[in-house]
Amino acid sequence: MTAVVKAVRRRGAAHLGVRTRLLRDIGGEALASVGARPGRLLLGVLGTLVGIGALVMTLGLGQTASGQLSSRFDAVAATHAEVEPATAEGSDGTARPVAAFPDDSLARVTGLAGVTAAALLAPVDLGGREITTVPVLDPARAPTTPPAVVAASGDLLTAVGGRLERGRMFDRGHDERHDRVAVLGAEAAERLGITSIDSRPTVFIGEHAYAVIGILASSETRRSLESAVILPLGTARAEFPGVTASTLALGIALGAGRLVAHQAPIALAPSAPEAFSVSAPGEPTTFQTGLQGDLDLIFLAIGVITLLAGAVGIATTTLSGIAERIGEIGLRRALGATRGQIAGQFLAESAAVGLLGGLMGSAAGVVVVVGVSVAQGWTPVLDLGLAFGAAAAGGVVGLLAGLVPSSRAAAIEPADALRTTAT
Amino acid sequence: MTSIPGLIELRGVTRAFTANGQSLEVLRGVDLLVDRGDFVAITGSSGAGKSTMLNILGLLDRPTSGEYLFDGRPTAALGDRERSGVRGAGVGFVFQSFHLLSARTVRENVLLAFVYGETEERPRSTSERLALAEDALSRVGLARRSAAHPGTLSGGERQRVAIARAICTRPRLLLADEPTGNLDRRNSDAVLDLVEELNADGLTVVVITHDEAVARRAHRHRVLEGGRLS
Repeated sequence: MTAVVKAVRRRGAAHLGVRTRLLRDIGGEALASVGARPGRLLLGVLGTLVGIGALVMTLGLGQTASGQLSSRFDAVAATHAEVEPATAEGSDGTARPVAAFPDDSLARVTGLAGVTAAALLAPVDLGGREITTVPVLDPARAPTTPPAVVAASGDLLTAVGGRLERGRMFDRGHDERHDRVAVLGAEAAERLGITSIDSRPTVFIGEHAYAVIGILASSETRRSLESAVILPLGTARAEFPGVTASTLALGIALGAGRLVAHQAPIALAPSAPEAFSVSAPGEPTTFQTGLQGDLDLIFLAIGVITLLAGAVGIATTTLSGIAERIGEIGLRRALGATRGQIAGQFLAESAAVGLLGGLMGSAAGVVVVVGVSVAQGWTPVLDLGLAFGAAAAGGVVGLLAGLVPSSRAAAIEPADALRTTAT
Repeated sequence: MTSIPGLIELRGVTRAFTANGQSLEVLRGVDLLVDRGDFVAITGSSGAGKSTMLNILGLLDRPTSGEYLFDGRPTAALGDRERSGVRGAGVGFVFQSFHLLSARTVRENVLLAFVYGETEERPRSTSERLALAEDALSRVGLARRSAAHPGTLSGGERQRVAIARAICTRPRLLLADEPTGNLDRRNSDAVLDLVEELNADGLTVVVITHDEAVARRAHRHRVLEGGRLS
């Protein structure tokens, strides 16, 4: 190695050493300057603290609320299932079921391990008949679309996670005797003007009267029942031609889903179990996904807006700080600071304030999420990446908020700055 | 006292400022040669352009025209980084209003000079910096007050801290702008004694003042009037 190369390397190493030392010194100066003004530090930190805290809190509560919803929907999915015949495309291009539920379907599946309830459901085609509460045919009345009519047998309430608002559900006796009774979904009852069953109300389907014996408040797995008129399957088959069960709703024990999914098709069609498929209830999944997305978006928007307000707070605090520190800027320039080093120091100060605010805000947000969750009896759900990421985001926000103030500080002419009186 | 020629030199330097669309010429063709080891006092009435001249000598400002040579090097073509480098390593400033950071201790105020005053040729370790700072504070008689804050010091002590900060990096030139402007006579004399001592040790000193008593301490006395040096 020649002496020249050695000299160049020594110079390069010395240059690197001075640069590293300078960066460390400026970082130290930034921290010392930040710590020297507790009031201003508090103001700057407060903006980021509130912004990041709100972001973590809103996103954390959003995740927790979504998790809470998810656990409820998961519970529904874990304790309910639906069996439907497989379909094949017919000659007209429409999908047609390849099998029909046997008459003793309920008996076949209720004996299976893990099945707690079963109910057959069948759509009823009214053939143009209307549903009214009075047996008067008014030719002048505008035509309306009647509520859907669904026929059911078995333990419908348990199988679909249903809850009665009033009255009772029809039973096996009604089904076997083909009694003209009906249970109305809450929305259908409201639409028909029936608010109570105390006066033994009646609905007319075509010319036949059906005694309303109950009002269904809600159904966890089949919300469509809330707007339907529900008849016993035996009654519907006797009154309307072509009523065929399309779905077998099952209530299942927690953890028995896989077993039931395997055994139910075999029980219904031992020679061709593939003719039936078992799935989790579909309606809530879509609902759940949509709701989670909406919640996340709303909470994210609130958090981001609050964080922007925090960034403006840091920028304002830093800017007013520069106005107060013009003399100091002049001194540093006189001592040999370049414009870049002045900008670097103010950027580092701003980033340090943002990072501190981010750390404190993130911690505060986590505390609020846990506190609210404990108070509500929820399980707190918070992505750790969010907590640490939010703290780092505070630093980034501080850095960005410091861009304009630091460039202004760097642009100050040292001769002008030194005219400002200092200590 | 022997002088070694040519540390700083102004050649026909002018400095004009524009205000309300009108150009105001503060310095008009100033020529000045300050040798190494020299002690020059520049006096003049308020508004004569003394501070403008000091800013140019300290590379805090640029002449509108003319030439300024520092250590024989023309400074006109130097960029911000080079000018800052020359200021940090080669020039020590003492201001009338001290410019000390109130939240820092006396020692920290002195150490501040090392943050920007390092050169690649002579990077200093933390212990070296501390030793030089303590040495400078001993030189100005404030070694025992190194942990104090500026707010607890008298005006004379604050100015001595500023001088310690200006000399701790061993600059070649000390520029003092009204260094006794905020001091009583006793403190002024103490500060001027110190400046004389530093000059006697070889430090080149340029003092801007309107105080004739300060000017009398210098080896050379120039008067700035109407933007011209006589």
